[in-house]
Amino acid sequence: MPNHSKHEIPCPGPLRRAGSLLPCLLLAVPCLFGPARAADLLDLPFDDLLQVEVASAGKREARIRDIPASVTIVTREEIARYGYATLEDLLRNVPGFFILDNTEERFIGNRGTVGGGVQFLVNGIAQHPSRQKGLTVPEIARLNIPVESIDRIEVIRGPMSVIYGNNAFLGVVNIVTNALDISGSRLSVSAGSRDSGQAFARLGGRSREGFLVLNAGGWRTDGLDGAYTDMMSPAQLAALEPGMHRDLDGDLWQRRGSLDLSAGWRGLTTDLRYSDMDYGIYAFTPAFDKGNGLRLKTLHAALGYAYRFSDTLGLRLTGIHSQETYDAYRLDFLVAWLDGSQKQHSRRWELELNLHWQPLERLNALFGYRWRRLDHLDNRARARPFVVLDDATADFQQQDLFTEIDYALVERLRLVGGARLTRLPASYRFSRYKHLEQTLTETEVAVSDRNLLTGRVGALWSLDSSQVLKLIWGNAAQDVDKFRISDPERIETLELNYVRTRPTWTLSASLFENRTSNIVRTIQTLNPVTGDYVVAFDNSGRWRTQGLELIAEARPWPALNLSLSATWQRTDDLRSALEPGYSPSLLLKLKADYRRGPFTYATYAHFVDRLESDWDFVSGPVEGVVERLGESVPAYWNLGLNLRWEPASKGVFAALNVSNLLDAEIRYPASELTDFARGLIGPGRIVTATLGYAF
Amino acid sequence: MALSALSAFGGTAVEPLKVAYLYHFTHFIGWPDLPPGAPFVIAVIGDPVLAEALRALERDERRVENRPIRIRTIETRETESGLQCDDCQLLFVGAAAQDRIDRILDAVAGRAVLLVGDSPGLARRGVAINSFLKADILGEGERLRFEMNPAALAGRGLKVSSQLYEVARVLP
Repeated sequence: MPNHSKHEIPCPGPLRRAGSLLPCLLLAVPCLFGPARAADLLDLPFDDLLQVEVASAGKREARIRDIPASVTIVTREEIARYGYATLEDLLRNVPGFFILDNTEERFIGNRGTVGGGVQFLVNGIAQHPSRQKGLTVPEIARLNIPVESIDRIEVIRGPMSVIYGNNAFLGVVNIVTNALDISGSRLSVSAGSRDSGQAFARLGGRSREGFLVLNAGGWRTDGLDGAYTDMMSPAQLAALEPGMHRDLDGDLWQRRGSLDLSAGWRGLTTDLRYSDMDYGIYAFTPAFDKGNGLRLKTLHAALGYAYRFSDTLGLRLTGIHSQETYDAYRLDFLVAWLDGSQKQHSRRWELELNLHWQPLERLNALFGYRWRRLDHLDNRARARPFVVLDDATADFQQQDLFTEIDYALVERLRLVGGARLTRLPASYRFSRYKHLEQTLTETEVAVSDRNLLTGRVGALWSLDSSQVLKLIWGNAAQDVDKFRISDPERIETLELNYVRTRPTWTLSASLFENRTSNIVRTIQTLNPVTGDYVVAFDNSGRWRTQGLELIAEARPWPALNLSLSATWQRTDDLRSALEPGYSPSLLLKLKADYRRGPFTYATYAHFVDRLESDWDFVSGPVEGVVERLGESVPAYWNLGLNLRWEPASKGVFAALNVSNLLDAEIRYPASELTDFARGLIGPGRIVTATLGYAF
Repeated sequence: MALSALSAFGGTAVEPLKVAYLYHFTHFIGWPDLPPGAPFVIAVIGDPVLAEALRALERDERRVENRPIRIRTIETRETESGLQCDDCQLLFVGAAAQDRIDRILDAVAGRAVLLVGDSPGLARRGVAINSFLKADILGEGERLRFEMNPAALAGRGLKVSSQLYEVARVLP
């Protein structure tokens, strides 16, 4: 067996000389492990040598070609070159993605629609389910990952429910924060406009048998500051009460902290992630006093065990527990004397078993089983004298069986097919206790079809070693948080993707069509008592999105990188002539960077086309009166610059980043929460300076 | 294809790993009638990066059959004028020399030289041991594996341990 003592290495000199307690603590972890040295390989028993993994760097192009989907990979090197301040900033610059803000939530849009839809994984661990029956918890916590901790992101577009279950609707974003071969221990601090700043530390070390990575980060900003006169209609302004704030300045502050630990020893791995966000939100009306506060805490704990019976048979067992608490405190809207809160909570327990089998060189098979339990789903609202209620969703379980087969029919043609059967609960049960009325209502909604089947098939035809043509069909499901609707939303995608990778350039082109059904939408129903039409929900919505994506990257010289992407899409509501909201026709992304000596000069820009808000029915005695929540907001360009000084891969580095350099007016269309007729004004020019040290 | 956590073990650069494999191969193979006092010579053609990595064996004073290891680089163009590898015990054929494999085979025909390569299809063309990268069954990276061609070993007088065959993909 390997001798651990042989892999201990002395602490690096510069830090040993620093002599303070902090550097010693920082070094404790790396020195426990230390990197495996090449010379040690010579003394390994041959059986152990056979298990040594080859570094994966440089496999980016191969991954883009081999994964049966349209794929974008963002590397640590690229993140550093462009100096994105947050994960949100990074995703805004991913081809085909756009992000909307309603102050409480960040809606990630992709291929024509927003909200839910994208399954986030951190180090392969699926994050807390974003859609929970009877809850309205935002999904923003999944973005609370310090961008400095990210070693690599893989964005996979299209329905991926076969592998990842419900909610991998429009794609998957896999965020890797534990790749020590990409980046080791380091520290950084940033400060910028709007009193923004962040601090980040990574400690990590590895040996041949284990690794440990700890990422800790904090981020703060004063947030958006738009004036209501620039966002509201004259009617909305006229309705403001005396004492209400006249702008958002000071109301949308944010404080974010996160800690993630990833460790492994032999076949065992553990991933712990804790996210704590405290931030101000806008809710329906301007605030009177200190504004509304929202605290969102998320905890993930995963334990995995992988065992390889041989090169052709392996097993992975993963257990996950996660929980999320939502605490909207110091409610401050509607009337000056309002005092209230809203607390929501949910927990997940999950066990997944994956069996990987390669009976033939050209045949790979995955068989999986997942058991999931969701419990402690509760929602407690306190806003006397208007509402005091306790909602609760009874615990429920789901079980999934899934498989995916990958078969090379001939040398140049691979076929991939998979299916997933999800056994839904027989019914969902809810209770609501209204304290003011002292009434208890219990509701049970039966699930019409408990067997939910999703599938995916694809053919990958390698025209030569650098070109591949992918034809993919797949469908997926997405849970609905409305408790009176049991059926999940569905999507079906047909896509043709062409990829060509050359040493100095890469091209990807996709033609796609999404057909989305069971979409929850607002409808009108007649109240026979009052004679008025009132707003309710059903799930009869059907959309069709057709689009084209082009992504081109080039490295004409080793020091110069260029990239361009364009996404055209059109979404139609197949149930009405109403154009769906939040669906830009055109998205453009441009990037260029040049390295000379220790300096990297980078510029990037993204264009988001005009956006409409969603539709809403107007309650009252007339049927079918609909209007947008707000006006359309104009298209915009967001241009960024980044200057990075990094004389060596280890040691001091510094960066200066300017986002929205031209201070362009960015507006997000009205939503239920931020119903500004002219849209919410987004961030202006932000200047951020960063200083760091890589060990 | 499931996305897995990119292994934080991080992996090892492939050249040091190939060096370790080559070094281990020498322990599973016996060379007959090695000249007394001569070093054990590993020659490399068509892969200067690996040749440089192999020099770690010299620096580390590693030995095979109780002889010091010496690394020799052979230029690919030497195959034009007749490859001289009389003192070699192991010859590594890199990707840049794979097109010259027939000339290389002629040059070492019938001699106790272990031919090793790392290019697709090279074992079928007469190289005894050919390494390749194989994706991990759990999708956590790749590992180095090798195929062996028993016919390419026949007639060279090399004694090969059955243990090597047990972990190799053996060509029929």
